[in-house]
Amino acid sequence: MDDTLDAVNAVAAVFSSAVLGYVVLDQRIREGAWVKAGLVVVIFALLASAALTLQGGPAWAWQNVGLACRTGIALVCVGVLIRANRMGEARRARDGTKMQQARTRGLLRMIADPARDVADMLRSDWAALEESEDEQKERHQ
Amino acid sequence: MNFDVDPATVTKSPFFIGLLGGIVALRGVPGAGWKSRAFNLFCAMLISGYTSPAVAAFFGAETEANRNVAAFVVGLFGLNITAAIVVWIGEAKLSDLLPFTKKG
Repeated sequence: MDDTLDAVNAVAAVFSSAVLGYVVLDQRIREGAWVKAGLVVVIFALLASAALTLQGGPAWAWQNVGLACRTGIALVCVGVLIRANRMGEARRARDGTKMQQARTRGLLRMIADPARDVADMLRSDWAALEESEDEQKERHQ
Repeated sequence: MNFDVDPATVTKSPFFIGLLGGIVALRGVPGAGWKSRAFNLFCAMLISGYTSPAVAAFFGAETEANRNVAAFVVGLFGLNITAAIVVWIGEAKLSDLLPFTKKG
């Protein structure tokens, strides 16, 4: 029973790392440097956990795997927030909101804007921020 | 000059294995041209050669096969991370970060 569970755990870890690896390697998915780095750390943690599950290893190695996994997830969160902020800046620039207006809107705006940025980003197709203007024009035509 | 290069040593080197990983990753990486791709590949080889032993030790990988897998994976993703950082630096307006320049 334990061997079966170990095998299932290892296969699930390898499958998850393969899916995340596809996300990192696929050129069409533009996740940015922070999210990419976080995903790579998570992939390493998953592969290491698969190896440790199958081959066994010391307790400190499992602790390091957990640390790497949480660090990777934290990096992904930071990357998502940075990207949402950039998209929000672009939206505010498009709407013509001045910096002074943004400053005077106070605490409520400080809370509402990041939440709106994240909501906009999740609804969008993760706008291709790295595209040049020519590439954007080609895509819109 | 006489160079004694042992093929077994070369093929087991993390630099070489990372280079192979980088070559595999070249297919999916955005690069403006072959110069930038070659630079990314070189960086992936260095990243793999110097960091994969530490990564393998961090995760308790003691067998040679595990160390080789670590070197390949570090090379594979090292090239992508290098490319992402190069793009990030290229599009970052570093002058905006300086506090003493005039803002519009």
